[in-house]
Amino acid sequence: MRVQFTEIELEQQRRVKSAFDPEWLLNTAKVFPLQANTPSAGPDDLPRAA
Amino acid sequence: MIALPLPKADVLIRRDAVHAGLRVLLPEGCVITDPTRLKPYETDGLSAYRQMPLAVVLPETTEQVAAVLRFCHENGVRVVPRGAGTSLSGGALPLADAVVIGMMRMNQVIEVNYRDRYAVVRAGVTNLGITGAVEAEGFFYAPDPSSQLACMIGGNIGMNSGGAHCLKYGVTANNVLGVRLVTIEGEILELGGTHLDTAGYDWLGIVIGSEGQLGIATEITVRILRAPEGTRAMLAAFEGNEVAGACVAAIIGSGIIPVALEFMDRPAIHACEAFAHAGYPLDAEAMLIIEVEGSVAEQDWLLGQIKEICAGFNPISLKVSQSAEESAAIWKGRKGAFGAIGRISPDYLCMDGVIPTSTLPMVLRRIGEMSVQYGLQVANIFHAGDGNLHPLIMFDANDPASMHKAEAFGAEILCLCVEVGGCLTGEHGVGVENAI
Ligand SMILES: Cc1cc2nc3c(=O)[nH]c(=O)nc-3n(C[C@H](O)[C@H](O)[C@H](O)COP(=O)(O)OP(=O)(O)OC[C@H]3O[C@@H](n4cnc5c(N)ncnc54)[C@H](O)[C@@H]3O)c2cc1C
Repeated sequence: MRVQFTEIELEQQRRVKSAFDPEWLLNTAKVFPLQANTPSAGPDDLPRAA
Repeated sequence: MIALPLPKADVLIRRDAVHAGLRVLLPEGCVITDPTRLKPYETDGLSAYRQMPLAVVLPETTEQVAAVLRFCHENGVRVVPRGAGTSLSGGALPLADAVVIGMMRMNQVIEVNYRDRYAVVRAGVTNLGITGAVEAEGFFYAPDPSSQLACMIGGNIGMNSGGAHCLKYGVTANNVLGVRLVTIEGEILELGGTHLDTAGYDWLGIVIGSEGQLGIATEITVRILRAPEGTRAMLAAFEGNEVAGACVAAIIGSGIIPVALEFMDRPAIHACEAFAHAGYPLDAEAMLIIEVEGSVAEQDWLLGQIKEICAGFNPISLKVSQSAEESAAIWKGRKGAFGAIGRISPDYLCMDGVIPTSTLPMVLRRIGEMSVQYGLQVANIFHAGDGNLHPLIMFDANDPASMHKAEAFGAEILCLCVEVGGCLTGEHGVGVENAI
């Protein structure tokens, strides 16, 4: 996945996952690289309009 | 080796409480905790990896799925959705602290509507079971993974599976109209409907191919199609992989879309002919199976065009199937290909990259060079028309060095696919195999 996607693209996908499954209980450890296999920081972390 | 996360210690300690909690939610016999009965669920199609789960549950209704998910969510327990467990990327591989939710008991066809050409089925209906339910009326469900006898529509949604005939009809995502999805909180969502497009965001686009990461599909509305008037297959044999690859690129580049366009190299041809007796050309380095469909006049015209293109690539032979039996044998060989390779080498890694068809000759040459460099045999059998490669790398699982080399070889192939503008999974999904 790291070859296919940049860190930013991966992070966007992790946010989609977190929106459906905030605690990452569904099929954990699949799809995303293990180091990135944790919930993303959530809405507070989203870039804000200036 | 692929690393898996550490199990949650607090969940392992609560094992008995989790088992008891699940038993309250489901009927007798739907919760499996006994190690000997858990054993069949410890792996999937990526059988080099195994892990016994905390428990397996076999719900019979959407409401039971919702109850189990709600319970797991409240108790912080991980969940692994599972269809038939044929995933080749480890998508259904259990975790030690996870409850596997097996969908096989939800195997009912709920409604068939021929006038509006859709069928509503539960997630545990097999891929071939859908066609089985409608073929008497002259209909079929188009996506046809080679595992179609076993794999289930829920798993097909997980992986956005394809097959030989997807060149013309599209993959799972192009043939699913609606999904009933249960979220981890136990909420039941209706996505899509019974027609091609719905208002608002395309939720189906996000859910199909999401590998059991966003929710569990329990009921699926699929498009069914009228079966074609007739089909005919032809075999084209070539002197090398590169020239056969160039022929594929030329056929696709000309704008012709055969219903299937499959590639097999020498090791694959020999392995498959040995059991299918399909009349495959044993003197060839590479072979294409090309299938067209429609009325007899349409078939004749298309085959004429295709033969003309093939003739430009110095074919050893071009043979059109003369009967339905002959065509059936041709497909028996192709669809049984992975099993046939299993007879030459008990262990193999099946890679699944996609590349632009115009790069086929170059990529096949590079794979051949890598095979020499790693000292591991490789067989190529794949959906050439879609540019969906399946190099099967043969190795010896009892020898860690050989397995390590096979994984490195596979990773190099996938990097090559990305490098030429393709991607690292065509239809088998990312799973654990390609996550790194
Ligand atoms: C011999 C062989 C040939 C194959 N040929 C092909 C082929 O030609 N084309 C192709 O695309 N694939 C092929 N495959 C791969 C595999 O069969 C497909 O990926 C298939 O769709 C998996 O279905 P399954 O029911 O076995 O699902 P599983 O392997 O049990 O699960 C697959 C994934 O979907 C998730 N999942 C399962 N059910 C649900 C559900 N109800 N809701 C949400 N998520 C769910 C799982 O968590 C997992 O991530 C082949 C496999 C084998 C062994």
